[in-house]
Amino acid sequence: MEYVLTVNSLYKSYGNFKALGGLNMRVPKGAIYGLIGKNGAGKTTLIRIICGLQNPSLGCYTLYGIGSHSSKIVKARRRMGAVVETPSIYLDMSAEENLKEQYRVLGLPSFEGINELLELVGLESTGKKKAKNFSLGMRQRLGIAIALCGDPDFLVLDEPVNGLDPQGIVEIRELILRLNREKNITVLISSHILSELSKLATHYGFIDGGRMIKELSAEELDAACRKCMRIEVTNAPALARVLDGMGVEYKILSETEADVFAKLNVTVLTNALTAEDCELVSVTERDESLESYYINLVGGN
Amino acid sequence: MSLRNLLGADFARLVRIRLFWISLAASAALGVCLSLDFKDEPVSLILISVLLLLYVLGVFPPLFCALFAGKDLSDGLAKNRIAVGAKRHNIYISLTAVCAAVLYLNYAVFELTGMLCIAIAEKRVPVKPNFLLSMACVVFICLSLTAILMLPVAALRRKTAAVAVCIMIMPVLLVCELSMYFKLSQPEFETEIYEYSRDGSEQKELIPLEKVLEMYPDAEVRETEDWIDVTVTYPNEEYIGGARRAIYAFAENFLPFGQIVKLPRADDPVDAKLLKNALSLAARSACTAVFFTAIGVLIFKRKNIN
Repeated sequence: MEYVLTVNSLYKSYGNFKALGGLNMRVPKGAIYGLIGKNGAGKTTLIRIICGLQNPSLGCYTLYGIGSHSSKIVKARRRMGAVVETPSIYLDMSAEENLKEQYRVLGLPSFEGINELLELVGLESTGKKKAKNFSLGMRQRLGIAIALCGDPDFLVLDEPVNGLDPQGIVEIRELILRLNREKNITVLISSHILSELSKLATHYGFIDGGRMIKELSAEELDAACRKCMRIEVTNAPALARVLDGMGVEYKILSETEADVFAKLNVTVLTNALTAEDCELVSVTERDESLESYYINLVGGN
Repeated sequence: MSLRNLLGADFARLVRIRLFWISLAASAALGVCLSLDFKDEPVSLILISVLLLLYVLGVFPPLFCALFAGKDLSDGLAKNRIAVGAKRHNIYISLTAVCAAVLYLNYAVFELTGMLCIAIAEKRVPVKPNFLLSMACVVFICLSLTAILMLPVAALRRKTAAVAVCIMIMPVLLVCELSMYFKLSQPEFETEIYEYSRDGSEQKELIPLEKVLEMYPDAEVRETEDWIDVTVTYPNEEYIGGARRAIYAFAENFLPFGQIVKLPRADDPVDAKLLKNALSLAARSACTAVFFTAIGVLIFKRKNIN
């Protein structure tokens, strides 16, 4: 698999406070990588380091295969766009002027594409309205538009839906999905709104205490969060025989517990178990969401 | 991403800033006011001139540097540039160059407006070669002043804090440089002359002659028919010497206000000495600008941007 970004044992300290403690991460090309972690977990610090806004205390990362210690890293950064925390926009300028400013910074030969960008983020009708009069959602979308100047193929978004109203959240989500699907832009997105992230991400990284505690794809997460019935019996082998007879998928967890990935008629199951001289103790339906998966992973702290 | 791109972007941003245009208008107004003969003008005009002078020289340079560069360096808008591969030293140099250009443009507008007024009133062109030399030296002085003002902008995390510190820098710098200038102007020795009439009929001095000669055995005594003059030379306590003098002289030579005092004047004869002095002044200002810009770049390179 080709990776846009790989992070190797990254450390960052502010005085005595360790924000990152040996973090590892890999963002596959074409993915929407959701970076999940509670406040202070190190998400924004990691993003700031990747964007070159801060230097790591120790460790390194590679962007498009170019190491962070290499002088060529600035060239690799030209392929990325970023919105870190609050969007960096000149409030006394209109959306179009802000984009022109970024075009000049990038040294782009003409302003062609600005209208397309404004349409893409839904700001085409703002005209000469200054950014200071924009709503939070509009500023966020302008921030994304600025990040998209120069056609990057890696977009880094730090908490892009923070403080947005429900409609704004939907708009940003649709925009990110569109960018990923239509322009094949790899997106690294950090958020603690897990329900929102679960609608977008193709890969997840769970970060806690400055360390990556789990990295997995959406398929792997789906498998881990599959709906199942947890059945507690007095004799698990007997249960296995019954379930084999019923032809359903299951997983024995212990001498007395098993997860069954199918809907079962409890009466039929009870009768079959009685015939095997086994008692049914309890049946609970389990539906682990991203949220509960995360809580289980970080230990509910 | 080249410095040229960043300069292009910063200059394009500059023309949209209202404060820039207001300052140009204020500089032009100051040029008009200072070209007038104040003897014939009302007090209100003198007051307006003083206020304009305070604004153009004291308030505007730090205010503009802190507001313009502070947006990127202190408030962190530079992250849009850094994230797409702009080098931090290029960002810093570009902002410094634009701020210095604005200060110079203000000075040029002030000078040219004043000269235009004189030309109209007196029907003569008041341009002398010294003026052009002075204008050239001011380019470097603007660079050195901007480089100093950019330091707090690079170091601080809030634009408002940068504005406050920058505005405070100007009077502090002025007071420091004036104090250094006066200390350096002090003579190494002071001379006092005591005059005594021979017959004692016109006694001027409180200390008797014998006492003076006892206190200052090296005193030079000059006797005339009626008078005895005693010239006493003693070390000036205010005079600073040694390493301290060298440091003061160095600082005075390299800091902006000291450089302004040494600018070629209209009455100075245009000769090789004047040219040499102007070149030396420009070189010292350039050194100050390079030194403080290098410190600023180092600070900005190490700065954690949020």
